[in-house]
Amino acid sequence: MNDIIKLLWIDDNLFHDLTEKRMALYMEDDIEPHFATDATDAFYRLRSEPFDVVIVDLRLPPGPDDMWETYRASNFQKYGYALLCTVLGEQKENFDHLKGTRFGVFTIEAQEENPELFDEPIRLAEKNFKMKTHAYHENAFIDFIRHVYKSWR
Amino acid sequence: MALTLLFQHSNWLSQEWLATAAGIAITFVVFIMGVPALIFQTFIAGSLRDVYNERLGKGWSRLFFVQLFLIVVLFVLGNSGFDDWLFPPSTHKFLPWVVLLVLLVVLGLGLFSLIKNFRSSRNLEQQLAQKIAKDAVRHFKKHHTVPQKDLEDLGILARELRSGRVKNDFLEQCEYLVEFLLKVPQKQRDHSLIGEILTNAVCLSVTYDGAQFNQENMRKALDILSFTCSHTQHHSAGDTSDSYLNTTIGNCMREIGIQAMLKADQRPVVMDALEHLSAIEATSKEMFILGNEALRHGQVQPAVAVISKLGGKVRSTLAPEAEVEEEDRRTFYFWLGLVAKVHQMGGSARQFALRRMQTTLPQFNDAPDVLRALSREAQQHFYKMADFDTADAVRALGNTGG
Repeated sequence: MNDIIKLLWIDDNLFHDLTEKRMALYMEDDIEPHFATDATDAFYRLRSEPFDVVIVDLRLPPGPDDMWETYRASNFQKYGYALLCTVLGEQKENFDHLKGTRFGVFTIEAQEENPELFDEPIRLAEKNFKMKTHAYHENAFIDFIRHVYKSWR
Repeated sequence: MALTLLFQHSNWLSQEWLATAAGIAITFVVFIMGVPALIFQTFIAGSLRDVYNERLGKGWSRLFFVQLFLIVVLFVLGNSGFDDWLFPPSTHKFLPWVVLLVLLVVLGLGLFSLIKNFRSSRNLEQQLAQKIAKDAVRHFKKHHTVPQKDLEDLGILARELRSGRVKNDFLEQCEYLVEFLLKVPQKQRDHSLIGEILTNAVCLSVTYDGAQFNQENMRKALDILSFTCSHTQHHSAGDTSDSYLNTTIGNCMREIGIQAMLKADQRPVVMDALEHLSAIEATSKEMFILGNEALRHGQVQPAVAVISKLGGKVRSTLAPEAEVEEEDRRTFYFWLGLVAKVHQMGGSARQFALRRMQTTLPQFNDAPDVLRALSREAQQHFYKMADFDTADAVRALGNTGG
């Protein structure tokens, strides 16, 4: 029996142009997909349960919680990055249950535009970064998730 | 008659002067305050007029009384005896200026009111929602409760407001109120009050039969419900009131999902509702209802999503030898019920259902009797709920060896 990958995919376009990819994930036998559409929703999902793989879009809306006030004040746009910094840095002690979780980034921006992702506290593996393109079809995305699952942060 | 008597009195100013003052005052009352006030009332939807007049119409009446008072002052100043008393000896030097000043103040106030009212007529509904939410917060700070009147008015707005931006503005005010109530110290926090706002304002605004709403409004309502649930989960003691709020939120999400299913352009929201529901504990029944309802409307995708989500819970909690908790047992029943309904559809759907049985319950490969017993329990469960259709589907699935 294959391992089941418990996945959290955080992206505000999940209910728009990513619906096919989302449905394809439901049909996979070895993936148990969960979704969040803003940083607040994702924060609370990550607080309450463990996941094997977390895929984050960098340009996320913040959602309703006040915890993002400091980012809001400086007109910050990349709440995906803010979320990763919070979970893996500032509030690390509240997320002990995510020690085995592998993180990936799936975003419209190029890798070169986000060098901070590969430094502390996130230390993302370069292979766990994937740029969104129109030509990126469902099977390739599912392979990317499996690849992230097999990687180590 | 009264005016004529006044004009005849030697102490009063000339007829022309007073007639002009009276004419300006009457014209002012009728045209600057009266007619625009009537026109302005037509900007407000009939159903909201009472709420508006009660909450925001007081400013107009206050201003009107000030102006009436000034008009009376104008008449009093028309008496030259008053001038004698105010500026002795009687020179009539300052009186015309004072009368002119009062007249200008009256006209200026009228003009100010006119401009202010017409400028603000664009966002009447938003102002109204904002006022109710702020009144409720102010009252709560003093008395630790929200007046029933405020809740009723929120309910009226929820039912009557137009879809799109107007309704989203209203939902943002509800969010502001709920966030405030969530942040009050644990001892003063009233979960039943929060539940009432969520049910009778937030949920009602996108589920009420005659209400207007769109996808954006439904998503906003779901976000508020989801945030409330997450916040409660992480900032409270976990007592029975939390459980009450979770049940309320689960019911609201289910209602929104069902409502979204009835309109073709809102169907994507069903998946959104499912996603939020799956993050709440003990909502397997609500998820089953949504999945089952989707199948009844010929949509398989929400049912597949429910099977996937409940399947994850079943896989992690069910084992042949282990003691199973009641809630996990119910999750299994609902998961199996939906798998059986998909199986009943035949073709590829049947293939999907059988594959899910194998991949979700591999731990029962060596214990088929235990699985059969659980399957019979599930069948009984649906029979007791008078859901004969699902009970038959579960039996049929069992007969195929699934």
